[in-house]
Amino acid sequence: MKPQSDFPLPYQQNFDNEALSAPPRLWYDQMGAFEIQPRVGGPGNVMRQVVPIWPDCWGYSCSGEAVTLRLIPAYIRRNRTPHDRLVVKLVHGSIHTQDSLHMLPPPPHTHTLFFNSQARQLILAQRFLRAAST
Amino acid sequence: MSFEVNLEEHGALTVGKKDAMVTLDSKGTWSFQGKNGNLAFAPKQWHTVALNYGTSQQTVTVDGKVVCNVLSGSSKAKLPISLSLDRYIFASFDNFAVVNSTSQV
Repeated sequence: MKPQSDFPLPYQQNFDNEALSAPPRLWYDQMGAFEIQPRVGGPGNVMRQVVPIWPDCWGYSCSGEAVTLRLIPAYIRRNRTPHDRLVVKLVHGSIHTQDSLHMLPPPPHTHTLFFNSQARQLILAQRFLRAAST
Repeated sequence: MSFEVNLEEHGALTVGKKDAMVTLDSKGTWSFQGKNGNLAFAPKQWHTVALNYGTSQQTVTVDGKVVCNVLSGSSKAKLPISLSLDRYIFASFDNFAVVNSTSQV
């Protein structure tokens, strides 16, 4: 759909007159969990990502997300839930995930990770552990 | 386009128009239009980032210092502008601005 008019420029947004805990005006959040928060150590507000872990999928697919997960050994191999399977790809030493709820074949050089969204814990398949340790 | 950013942990910020995205990593690297290099972009402090999409060159500036200057391949995309982090970390953004001039968006 063609917009009715061009975006008004110049445009400035300092978030100071926006409601706390609300989404930032005009920004469309795609699983980023951004909201308005007071600026720490200064006046006014900021737009802040407020979720330090993978958030629940708020009623829509998580496909295509790519975030880095922290690997915490104590979380490994608990309560595996097949419906929460993710695939993991090692990229330059980081671990990126891609939702595989649609059961697409994993791309090459990936390893299977299990993610318990209820407990928000990471359950790692043993074969990934072996791959990651090499 | 300019804004302030404060990453509260290490992470990589990717921002810009869809055909001209810059990635700034708090571990000290940047990439833009196929080029890359090093920069000071430490977490837990505010940084000012500016992207200048000119007709003949594109410039990325961090804390007043030019990080990258691409002389060819001007961006043809307009809005939207996207902003993402490679990790779910606490991160704040402030004083976002887009200016339309002969040298900017």
